[in-house]
Amino acid sequence: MTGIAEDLFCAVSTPSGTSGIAVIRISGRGSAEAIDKITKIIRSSGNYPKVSDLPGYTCCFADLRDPDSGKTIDKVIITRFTGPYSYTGDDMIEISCHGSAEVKRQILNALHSLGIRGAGPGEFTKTAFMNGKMSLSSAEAVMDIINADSAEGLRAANIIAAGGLAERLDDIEESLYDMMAKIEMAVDFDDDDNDGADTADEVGRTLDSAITKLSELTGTYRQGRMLTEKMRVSFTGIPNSGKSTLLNMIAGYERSIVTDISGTTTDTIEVVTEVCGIPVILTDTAGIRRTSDRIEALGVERARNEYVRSDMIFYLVSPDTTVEEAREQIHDIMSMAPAQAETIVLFNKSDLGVNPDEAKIRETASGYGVSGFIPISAAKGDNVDMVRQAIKDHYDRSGSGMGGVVLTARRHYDALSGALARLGDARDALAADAGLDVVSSITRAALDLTGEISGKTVSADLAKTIFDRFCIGK
Amino acid sequence: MRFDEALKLAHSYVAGEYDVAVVGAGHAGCEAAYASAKLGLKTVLFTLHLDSLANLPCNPSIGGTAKGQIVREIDALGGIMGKIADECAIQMRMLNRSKGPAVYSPRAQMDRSRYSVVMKHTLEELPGLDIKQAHITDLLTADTGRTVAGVMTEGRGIYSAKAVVICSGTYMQSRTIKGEVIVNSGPDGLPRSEGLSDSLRDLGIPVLRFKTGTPVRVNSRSVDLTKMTRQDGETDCPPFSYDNEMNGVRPVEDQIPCWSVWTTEETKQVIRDNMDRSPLYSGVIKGIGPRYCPSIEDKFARFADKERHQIFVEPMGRDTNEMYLQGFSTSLPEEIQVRMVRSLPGLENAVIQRSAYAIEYDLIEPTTLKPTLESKIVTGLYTAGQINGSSGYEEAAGQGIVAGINAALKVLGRAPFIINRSQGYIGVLIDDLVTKGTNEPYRMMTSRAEYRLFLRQDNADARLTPAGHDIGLISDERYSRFLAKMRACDDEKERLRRTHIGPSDLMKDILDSCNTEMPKSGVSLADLIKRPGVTYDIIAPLDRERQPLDEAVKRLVETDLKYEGYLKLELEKIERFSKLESIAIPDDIDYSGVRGLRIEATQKLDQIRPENVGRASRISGVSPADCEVLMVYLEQHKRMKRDNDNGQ
Repeated sequence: MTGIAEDLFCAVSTPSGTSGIAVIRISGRGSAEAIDKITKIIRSSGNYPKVSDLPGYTCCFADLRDPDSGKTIDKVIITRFTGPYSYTGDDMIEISCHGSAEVKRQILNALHSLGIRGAGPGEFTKTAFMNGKMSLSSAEAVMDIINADSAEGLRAANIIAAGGLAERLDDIEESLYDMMAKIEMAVDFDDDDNDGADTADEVGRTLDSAITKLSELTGTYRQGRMLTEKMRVSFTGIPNSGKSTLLNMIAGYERSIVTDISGTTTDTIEVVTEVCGIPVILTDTAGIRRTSDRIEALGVERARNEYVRSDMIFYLVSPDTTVEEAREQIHDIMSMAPAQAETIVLFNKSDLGVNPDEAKIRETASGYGVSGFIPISAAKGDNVDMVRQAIKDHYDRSGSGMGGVVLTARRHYDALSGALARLGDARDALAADAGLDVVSSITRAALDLTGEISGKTVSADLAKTIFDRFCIGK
Repeated sequence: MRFDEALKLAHSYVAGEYDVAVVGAGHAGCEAAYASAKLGLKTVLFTLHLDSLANLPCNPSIGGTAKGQIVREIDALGGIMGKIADECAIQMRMLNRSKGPAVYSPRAQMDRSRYSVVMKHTLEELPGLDIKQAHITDLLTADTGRTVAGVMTEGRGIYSAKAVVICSGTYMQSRTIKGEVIVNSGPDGLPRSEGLSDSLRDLGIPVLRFKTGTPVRVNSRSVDLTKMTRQDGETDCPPFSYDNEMNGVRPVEDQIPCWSVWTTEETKQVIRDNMDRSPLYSGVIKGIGPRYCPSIEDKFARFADKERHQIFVEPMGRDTNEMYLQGFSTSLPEEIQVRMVRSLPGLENAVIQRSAYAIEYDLIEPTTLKPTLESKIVTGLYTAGQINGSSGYEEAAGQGIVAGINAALKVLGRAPFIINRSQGYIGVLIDDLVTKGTNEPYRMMTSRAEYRLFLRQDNADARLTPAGHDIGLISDERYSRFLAKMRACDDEKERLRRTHIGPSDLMKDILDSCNTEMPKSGVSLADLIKRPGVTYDIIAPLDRERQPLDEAVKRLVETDLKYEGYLKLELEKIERFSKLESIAIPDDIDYSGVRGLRIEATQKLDQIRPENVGRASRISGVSPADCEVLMVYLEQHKRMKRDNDNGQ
């Protein structure tokens, strides 16, 4: 056994924000085995079927897939290190992926669902020190890093607390403490041993309500992430459908910086700007048209990768877009885009005429679940404000109506998602008639997790609730 | 006082030489003395009054939620409370039968005077133990004042001891309060202990003051029981003692019922009209009382919306008419008490034999203790029970056995014995007291235990009997019977997992009676037991190879199987907990030298001086990041030491 780290933890090791590539690290015994389930090796120096078969200090090119849907998240380079010769001294995996925030998020999600937790403050460095990878003299620097990282987390939490997270969480926790207090009351002080039927009904209602509220709260993480990492909006359509014009119209108005990533017409162009005060990344994906041309085929592939990470997609139809083209491309979009993403069809060049098949295209698009249609003229600026408004509406809706409260820190999201899962378990235990003592024990685990954010500790706060709310005699 | 100074006092004399001296013969003191003497140490037990040894001055019952678990843990370690309670019980019940096996809690009404007599006689018979009625007024120390040397009585009799266990209960500088009548007295009109808390304060041990109370006792001849709700005992309860259980001892058949009534509008009115005479509200009482056991006037004041409260009327023994009004403790004046009691249904003509009173007493700050219950300030000094801020007979006894064992182990030069939070309620109790302290008398509740599904009354022997055997309190003979029980339990679980049966009409009938659906295909007997409502006994007709088993084994098998999934999660939690518990912090650590610790954490750690990182993490004001920093520091410390050792 090497060191004290036996569970696996991971984090993005490159700076936040969008970059060309990013590196995600995993440390702990069994790191390689852990990701076998979500990786498929495309090429490696030998014919290694799995990451865990790779010799140490070699890498492979692999598909990294979502464990639930099986869809490819990204094509990545995976490097394997074996302890004790690694940064932390434990077995490690480094995943080099594409650097967009969405890809990083999806990979972390995938790792998380494998039971690999997010690293604590300064944890990689601490583990390295504990495993003797750093000299004695660096100990104090390590302590400073832990201190600084945790202070940073605290600051983030304080900012959010000001936005009302604390109150929301307090509300949820209070109802759960209250519920547990009732169970504990019955368990510890009810000499009559009344049967728990009434209590069970009430417990069920409280759990349901807490689950609803907590999932609303975790639901805001999407918006919180849009705030910290920007909302990703892509414009797509056949060549010459007016994507660039529209993008410039929106971006220009907001005086944004236009970056042309690699300069060829088939590449994705990203514009970082603000739309109605919301930080967005607008992308103009290459005009897509199924073709034998190698360069254009590459464009199609790029466009698909873009859909995967988009929060919102505008599909532009020009008067000469055919029904077949529209069907094929909308099918592509809807099969690649994340479930929560929204797709809107824009009938562009309204000043030049109407697409003869507009009705058919509308029917097809509706069948695929496209949420809206807007006739615009990018060139003249007609209805461009409606596009802006659609972006803002989408952002507003993604906050689950929590009155401005949003989760922005990944660690908070993880803790609350964990708590949500526990509450689901508690509900199942209740339904399975496992006994209120069991329900209470599982709820305690959920409160342990919310306590990581609220700072409450179950034993002390539970005792306080019991004493405050119930008249207890001996 | 220093031992040599005491010897020079006029009329002082050497009265005895002992390995271990236990001061106070309540539930903590009796367990401590019993454990110490059983481990072969020459032990003396002092009491202010020999006829009040192991007194039950408050409610005449032992056990209850969380407390019943503690009694079974004491017995599993080889203690004495469970056996005496089994012998003196006049009613037994298993509480929480409807709420799940993890919180089943045995409770028994005691014949109060018999309990005291049986305990006294048992201790009198124990070789190596002397029992003395004496008033201990001074703790004696060796030269530096940092090591215990013995105790001195009021009459200046000096007893030398290598370890001293103080279990002063509510007696140190105590006073009882009934309205305006305040008397310097111990409970039940017994003498109080004077001088001892000053002696502790002089040694630098912080002394605090708490308050508790007890209700009135009435003569059953003056009570109309027909107006009350009857509550009978159960004859199918297991005894408290595993030894008794394994020997087939059953609760007595002729059990005495308890009764319950509700307070009336008149009760509320009498109390409301006389609140100004309550010492709690007039400010006479300074000591902090427990929130979970408020006086009846406190209940009406704090829960004004509640119209009535339940009162239990409990017998105090077979040879007495005295009945105890549980839930009716008060410090109002005697004349008001009469009116209050007579406002209760069936008690209209009640004759009060003993009045209710509140009592204030001195205790020590428990965070100055190690988890062994040895003082961090004076070596060889142990404290247990209410002196450490707890409340309740069982909580006292649980600490008593741990203090007694550790005092003995110290004298024997053996490694100390600590029960951690995942091993028993006693561990939770002691860890809470010595790590967090308490600002009111601490009562054990099942909700205080994080690993409640594992800390059950039916498996205390599995958790603690091996330790009891290692220590030497569990005989080889009892231990081998314990091992046989565990083996029987494991074998049966394995057999149930292995035995698969197909669906049948008989199975359908049985599962229908349990309101459980039929399995779609063949199923193991273990899986059947896991279903809601299905019990080990109920599936007997489906289990042809079943051999007769002890009731205790059957229950344990059933619970272990039913809880299997949840227990697995809890055991994983325990494993994570144990990891931090295993990282030791050296005694001589200088927290001011740990860079990166926040100031609050530095202060708290320096004050509590935890033995390991796990305990450090439970101190309020110490964050997870502080613990991380501490772990890095400990590693640095370790490596520096290793480098130095290599250099020499």
